[in-house]
Parts: sequence; C-alpha cells; structure tokens
Amino acid sequence: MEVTVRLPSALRTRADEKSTVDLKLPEAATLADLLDALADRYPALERRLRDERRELRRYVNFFVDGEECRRLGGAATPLRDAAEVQIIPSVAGG
Amino acid sequence: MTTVLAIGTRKGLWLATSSAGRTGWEVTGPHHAMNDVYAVAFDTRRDRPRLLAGITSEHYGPSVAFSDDLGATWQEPDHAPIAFPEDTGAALARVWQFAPGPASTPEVVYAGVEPSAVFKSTDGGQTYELVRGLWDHPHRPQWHPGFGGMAVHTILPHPTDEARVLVAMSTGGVYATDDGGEHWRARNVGVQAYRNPDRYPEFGQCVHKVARHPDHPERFFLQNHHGVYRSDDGAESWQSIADGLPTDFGFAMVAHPHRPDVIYNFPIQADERRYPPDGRCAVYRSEDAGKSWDALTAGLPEVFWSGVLRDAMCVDDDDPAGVYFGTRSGSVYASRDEGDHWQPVAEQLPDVLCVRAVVV
Repeated sequence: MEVTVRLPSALRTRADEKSTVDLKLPEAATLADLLDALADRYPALERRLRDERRELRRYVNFFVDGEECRRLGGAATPLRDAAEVQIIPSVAGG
Repeated sequence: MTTVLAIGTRKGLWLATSSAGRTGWEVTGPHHAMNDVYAVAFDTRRDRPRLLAGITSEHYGPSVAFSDDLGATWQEPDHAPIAFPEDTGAALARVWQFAPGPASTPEVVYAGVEPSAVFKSTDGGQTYELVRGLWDHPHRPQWHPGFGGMAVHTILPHPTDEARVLVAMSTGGVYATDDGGEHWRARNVGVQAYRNPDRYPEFGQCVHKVARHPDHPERFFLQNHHGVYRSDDGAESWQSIADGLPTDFGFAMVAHPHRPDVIYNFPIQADERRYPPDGRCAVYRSEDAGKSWDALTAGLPEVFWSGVLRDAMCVDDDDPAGVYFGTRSGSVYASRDEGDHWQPVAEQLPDVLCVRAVVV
C-alpha cells in the first residue's frame, strides 16, 4: 500500500527539503513500519521522531488520517492504503 | 590573536569573538536556535579547533553537532551520534559534557550524558560508544537524579595517561578508572553527602564540579552540594578548602590554565537560598590551592540575585589568562587579567548553561 507523510518545516532539511514523502509499505503496515521506512530513506529523521528504544518523541504528534496516534494505537496504529500521516510538533516549551 | 567564547544557553548557542586583546567582542547567534546547549568544547588537538556542541530540542531530542570553522558551518551525522545500546533499555536525554582525551590519543573524545553514563568517541567526536565498565557498575542502581537530572557532568581524562579518567555525577559522586574504562572505583572519601543519614558514604554524593590542573594531575578541586574540597592524592581522599569562602555551596570550579595553585569559584549562599551571598556578584579566586580566597568584583554588578551554573565558568589558555562566566539571567562577563577586572561580553541572552573559550 502507499501512504503519504507530511513533514513539519523544521524537519524538511533532513529530508531533501521535501514537505511530503510517499512511501510504499507492505499490507497491514503500522505507524512503526512507516517510521522504519522513513528512517531507511532519511536516516537523519529517525532520532528526531523516536529515541533509540523506538519510542515516539513525547512532544511530536503523529496524526493518522487526522487522529493523533496516541488516541489510537500509538506506534502500533494500523495504516490503510492511501493513508496520510501528518507529523506536527506539539505545543510545548517556553 | 583571536579569542572565541562559546556560550551555551537554554535556547541556543552564541559565539563571542575578540580580535582586540579581549576588550571588544562580536557576538553571533543563536546557533542551533531553540535547542538547549548544556555542553560545548573546543578540541585544540587538531590543526583547526573542533567545536563540539551537545544540543537538545524540546521536540526532536538530543544530538551532537560539530564545527571545524568555529561555528560558521555545522555538521551532524545522519545516525544518532550517541545512542544507548538496545540491551540497556535506556535512551539518551542530553549531553552534559565533552572532554577531549590526552594528546597521545588525538581522536578520543569523551561525552558525559544523562542518564548517567560515559560515551567514548574514537573519531574526533563524531560518533560514540557506551563505556560499559561504568554503565555496568554495581552502584548504578543506587545513583539518583539531582534537581537537574541524573548525569555525568564532569569528565577529566588524565593529561598523559590515556588509561586514567575521572568522572563526577549528580548524584553518585566521583568515580575513576585506571584501566581505560573497564573498572571504576568510587573516590569520595571525605566528601559529605548532604541530607543523607550517613554523612560520608562510599558514594551517593551530589558533586557539582571537579577541576584539575594538567601540571598537577594528582590534585583535584571539587565543588560539592555543600562542601568545597581539594585532593592531593589522585582523588583517594578529600580535604575541605571552604574556610576562606563566604559559603560552601555553589556549582562552578575552574582551574587556572598555567598556575596550578590558582582556582576560581562562584559561591552561592545555600541549597535553600540559591543566591550569591548578600546579592553581590563575586567570583572568588584562590592563589594558594584553596587555603585562602579573595573576592573579585571589579566591573561586576553590585546587585545580583542570579546564579552561575556548573559549566558556566571557564578560562582560556592565554597569558595572562582570561576568565569567563555566564549567568542564569543571561549575562556573560570576561576578565582578561585573571579575574582582577571584568567587563560584559553579552547581556540579555537566555539563561547561560555553559561557556568555553579558545585562543586561535
């Protein structure tokens, strides 16, 4: 299946300045699978989205078809064909 | 001759450059905007000094960046430069310290991190591996976070013996290895543990900073969470040198680059009153290895309720030495005469976490 990832502006320098990335994933892929594929293509994104335990960064939100993944299955959230995943930093900091 | 002062803050890195005998400063920044910069270092063993910065984004986590042109351009490896191995179950929170190794190992750089661990680079600070000997230490489950986190914030490689390294952490105390990092032993004899039923435990002290002069590698100076100490026996034992100071609390401890008996400190009133004594801005200098201390205030603010963090004071290696410190209220001061007189370098920056200087 194919999914589209939308990147925040701060991360585009780590992805050849792209704002969207299209990825082909196996059937029944999850958000974690998508992040694996994204890391293969753009390794510098990986540590900015997940720590070395593969846990999602606390202040980065991953909207799967408009719903933040933590209200779904977290990194295990299943993706559908033609899904759109928006990565947006949360409101944090001071 | 040009002097560059790296100023790590809560929201980025600033670089102050003086080509005028350290009287006027041109300040650029923020570099790595909105990243906290707990650790900076100049590695002067290279043809061109390498500037290392530990940067942490609130959103995107920690990283290490380095520059070989004094901050004009920066490089970061694609893959995480510092990462805990999978079996540790740990994740890097931030880098607190960089320490280039001795001249005999020009590509070795150590990093002290949170959670408390030491990483070692053998490629000049680009990529690092966990020092397993310290991570596997049986004391580690009993190390606890201080107020600022649980981190190895001080690393002092021996200036000539690459097998010997001393580290300090909050809390946990001082540990040292004599065999290149395989085995580590606590070195806290004589250092008190504040608010601990056992005032002098083997480990668990909240050591804030340790300094050493390269010409006296067996002598150390230590600022504790209440307590200021010197060791003359390679950190096997510690004796108080706090008598001549207005208070024994503080964070910074810096050794003079050329005169082994000269050290600098910035006293804070107490654990529960973290202001300078009397609200006065004063650096204290000892010229006799801590037997006596003098307050240095010329050019510093008379009213000052801010503070100086553990890595926010440093020296350059010029002669006479420059001394620098940054404050939690975003001011940076420099002295080009070993602390006798001070002038502002920058003001109204974010809170200053660390400063390091190099003469090029």
